[in-house]
Amino acid sequence: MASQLGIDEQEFEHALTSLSTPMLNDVESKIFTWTRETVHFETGDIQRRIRSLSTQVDDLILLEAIGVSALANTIVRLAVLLE
Amino acid sequence: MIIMNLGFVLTIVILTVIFLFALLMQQKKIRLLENLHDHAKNKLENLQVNFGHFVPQEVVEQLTDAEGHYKPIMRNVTVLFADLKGFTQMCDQLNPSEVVEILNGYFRIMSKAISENHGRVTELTGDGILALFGALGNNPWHIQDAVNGALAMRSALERYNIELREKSLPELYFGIGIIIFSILLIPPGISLLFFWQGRYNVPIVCSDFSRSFLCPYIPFKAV
Repeated sequence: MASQLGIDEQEFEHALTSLSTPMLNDVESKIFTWTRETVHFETGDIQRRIRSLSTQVDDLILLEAIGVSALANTIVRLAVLLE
Repeated sequence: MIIMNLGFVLTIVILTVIFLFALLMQQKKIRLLENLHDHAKNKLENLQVNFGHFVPQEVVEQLTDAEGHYKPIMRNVTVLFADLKGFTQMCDQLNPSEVVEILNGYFRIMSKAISENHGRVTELTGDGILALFGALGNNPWHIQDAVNGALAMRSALERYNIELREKSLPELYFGIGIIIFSILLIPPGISLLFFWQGRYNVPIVCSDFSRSFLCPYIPFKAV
C-alpha cells in the first residue's frame, strides 16, 4: 500500500521508527504522531492527546483521523487474533 | 407390622436428621471458606493498592499475573536524568518550608511531563530525577518519547519559573541527560534494581553527564 503511494520501504521504515517523515505536512505530522497514542489503547492518553490536537487541527480532518485510526486498530487487532 | 413401620419411619427420620446435620455442617464450612476467600481477596486488593504507591501500576499487574515466576528482562531503554543546578547553595538561603514547596512543585510538574510522554519516574535523588522510557513494556519509540519528555520538562520549567517569580522565590535551572542503555529489569523494582551491561551505576553516570550541560541543552548519548 505504501509503495502504491510512492513511498519506498526505507522511507516507510524510517517514518515508523521515528514517527516523522518529510513527506507529511505539519497537520499530517501531528495526526501521525497522535496515532501512536492509540496503539496501546489507553483511553485517558488518547482523550488527552485528542483534546490537544483538536486545538490545532480542523474538526473534519480530526473526525476522519479518529475514524481511520479506529478502523486500523480494529483490523490489526483482529489480524492478531487470527494469527 | 406396626413396629416394623415405626422402625422404618424412625430410620428415615434419623437418616434425614443426619443428612440435614451434614448439610448444615457443609454450609457452615462453605461460609467459612467464602469468608476466608473474601478476606484473602481484600488483603490482596489492599496489597495491590498499597504496592501501587511505590511502583507503577503496570509492574503491580505484571507481578500479580506472573504466578510467581516473573523473570528478569533485558531491554533497550532510554534513561533520562535531570539535575537542578545550584540547588544546594540555594537551599542555604531559603527556609526549609520554602525548599519543600519549591521541590514539591518541581517534582509534580516534571513527573507530569515525563508520564505524558510515556516515561516513568523511577527515582528522586535529592533534587535529581531519574526516569526510564520503554522499560515497562515494548515501546519502539522510547528514544523519541524521552526527547519529547525532555522538551516538555523544559517548557514546564519555564512556566514554573514564572510562578516562582510571582511568589518572589528563586528560579530553577536544570540540566537533562538522555542515554540509551541496555539494562536488566528486575522485579519488583524498575526503581534502582537495574543494571547496565557495563560496570557503572546508571544514576551516577547520568548525574555527572547532566551536570556538565546547561539548561537549554539536552545532551544525548547512546551507550
